[in-house]
Amino acid sequence: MVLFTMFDMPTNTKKDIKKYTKFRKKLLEMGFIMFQYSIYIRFCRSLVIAQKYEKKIELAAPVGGSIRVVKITEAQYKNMLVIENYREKPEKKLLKQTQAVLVF
Amino acid sequence: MSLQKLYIKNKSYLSYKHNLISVKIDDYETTVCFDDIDTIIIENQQSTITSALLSQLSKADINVIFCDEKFMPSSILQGINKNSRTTKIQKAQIEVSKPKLNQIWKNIIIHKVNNQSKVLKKLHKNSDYLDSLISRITSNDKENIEATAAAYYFKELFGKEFSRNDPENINNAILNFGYAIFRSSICRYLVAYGLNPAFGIHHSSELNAFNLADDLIEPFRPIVDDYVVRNIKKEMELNSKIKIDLLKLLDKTVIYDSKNVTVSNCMKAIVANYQSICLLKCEELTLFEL
Repeated sequence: MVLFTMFDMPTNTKKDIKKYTKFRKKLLEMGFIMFQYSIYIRFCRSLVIAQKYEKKIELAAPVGGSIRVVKITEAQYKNMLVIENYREKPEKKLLKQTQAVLVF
Repeated sequence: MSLQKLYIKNKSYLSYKHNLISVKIDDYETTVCFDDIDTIIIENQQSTITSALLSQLSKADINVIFCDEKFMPSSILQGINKNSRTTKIQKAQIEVSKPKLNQIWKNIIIHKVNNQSKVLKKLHKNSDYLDSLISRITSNDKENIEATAAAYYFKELFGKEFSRNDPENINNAILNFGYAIFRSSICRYLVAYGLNPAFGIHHSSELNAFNLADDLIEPFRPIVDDYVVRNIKKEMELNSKIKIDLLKLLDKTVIYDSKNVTVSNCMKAIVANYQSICLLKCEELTLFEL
């Protein structure tokens, strides 16, 4: 399972920005990687674990943002069409996380 | 798929960054979330690890193994006060009655010999002798059937010439490596459940700080033996591929309580079970089958 978290948050006041950074940090703590601006993904071993993180996001969600969470299977993820990949490739990072033993 | 194992083979810089372990190898950085990690084995002698990471790893119940210059496991990371009731549990652990420990030990040895005979059966070798030994195991294994069984079993597995005390033999090195991974994995759970690894069930050596881990590992040993017999040829060396395979053994499925669980989770369940025996919440130690 690949969990996609997409969010839009207001960044008009300092308070808003604080809220946003707090939420973003929570996402990173949960092991999400930045996929594109305000789209974060995480590889989950199973459906149960994906649901666990969904709940966690729900708890961490600040008031006044709009967040969407999507679950996608690895097969679907691999079929993604990537055009002009000028930023670092999150695909690489994700493929790494699907191995049982990570060798560095 | 189960939890991940990290195997640090190249020179790298390991640091902590909000609940993630970051592994830097020449400017290329990878992060892995703590929730996904089960074991980290640091084999490389040039790797740097920050103190923040060490303290967080021990907090997160992650099994960390460091290797020496011969690339064999030399030390593990153990947290302190991991369980809120550590003192209560350790008091109870010391006071477990001798007869009960004897019964538990008998149970452990029965399962160990049974697993050994299963390994032999899988390889189509003669296991009748081991099966006949099982009925002779008494409380606390007074006749030391364990040793008799082991002597027969290793000769049957690796040939007549084989001895476990031969440091030159490649099989021994691999067996030791595999056992070390299992042992450290059990140790981590023992500490997490507030037990003291030094006070064992049957092992009571004054020179050993991990008597209890050495007791509970017994039934798991045949899993490593099985791997070694199947995959190791005479002229092989202990290379990284073998080490990776040994780490993967923690993901092998065994039958525990008529459910399929991974070895790692099975260890956790057995340690939890032993803890509840110490606290007089349950009577029998449930063990697994291959």
